[in-house]
Amino acid sequence: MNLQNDPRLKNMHPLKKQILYRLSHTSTTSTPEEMLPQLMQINSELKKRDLSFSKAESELVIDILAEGMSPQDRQRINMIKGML
Amino acid sequence: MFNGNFRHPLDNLIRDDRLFIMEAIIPFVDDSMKAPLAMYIKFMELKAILEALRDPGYVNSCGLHKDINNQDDIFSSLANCGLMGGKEQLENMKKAMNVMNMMNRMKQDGDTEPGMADSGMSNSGIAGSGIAGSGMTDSGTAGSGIADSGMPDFDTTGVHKTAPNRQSSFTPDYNYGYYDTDQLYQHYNAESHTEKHQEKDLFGSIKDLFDEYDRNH
Repeated sequence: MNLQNDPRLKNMHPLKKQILYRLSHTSTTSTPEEMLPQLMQINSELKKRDLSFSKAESELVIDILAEGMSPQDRQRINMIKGML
Repeated sequence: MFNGNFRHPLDNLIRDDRLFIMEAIIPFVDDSMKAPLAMYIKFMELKAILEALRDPGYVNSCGLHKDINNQDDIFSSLANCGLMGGKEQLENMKKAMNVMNMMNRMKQDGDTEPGMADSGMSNSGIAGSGIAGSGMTDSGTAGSGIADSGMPDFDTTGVHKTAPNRQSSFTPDYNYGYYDTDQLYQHYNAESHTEKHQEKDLFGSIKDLFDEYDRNH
């Protein structure tokens, strides 16, 4: 995913931006159900440092991770995205 | 859309198998007899169902009394009626419900920030999620490899000191020149970082970023 001109990264905290860039270069083998607890863990760690992903940023994270998924998994993760 | 291969739940209440036998012979009778025979069968079935519904014990024994808060029963009932589009779709719906349960629990654990932890869903009263443990361990990844990027200090209130023409994050500012100077973007899009690597443990793959942040703040 090309994050270069994504406006959601414009004023993002550098730690969160690092996380996004790192995730964009990571292809996960997890299913959406396995991925969600891990994303919660990441957000929980951010909260300990007075940070968190906003709704828009959360959607971006999910978009990044959904890139390498099968169409079926992508459909399920879109369902999760709709719950945010 | 119906899948025709299903059994009506109300059929379980009918004790007289002769009605089902008569229904089975409808295709074989004259056309002029089909309608009267069908009407007779349905009338007798209605009568049998209403008599059976007067007996709650019998209704329970036929599986017509279930807990609305039990999602497995709900999905099984729908699947038995052919409304779930197959076992696979049923499993997908169950998994989606499990995800919703987990998000509800995360929300109840005290997250008040909007975003990933706030699903906005009320407690559905549905039983445990059954999601397998994430199995997260320290992936043992080496340091991020980012040399001192010379990033400016950031306070946790999120003011980006070096962002030119800073605006609210909800106001798009297509200042393309900003990205050209984004050292993080430049680092991650250098040749050495163009290949994606497989990773099962997402948190483990970025844990070093948190460690580095803690060291510097």
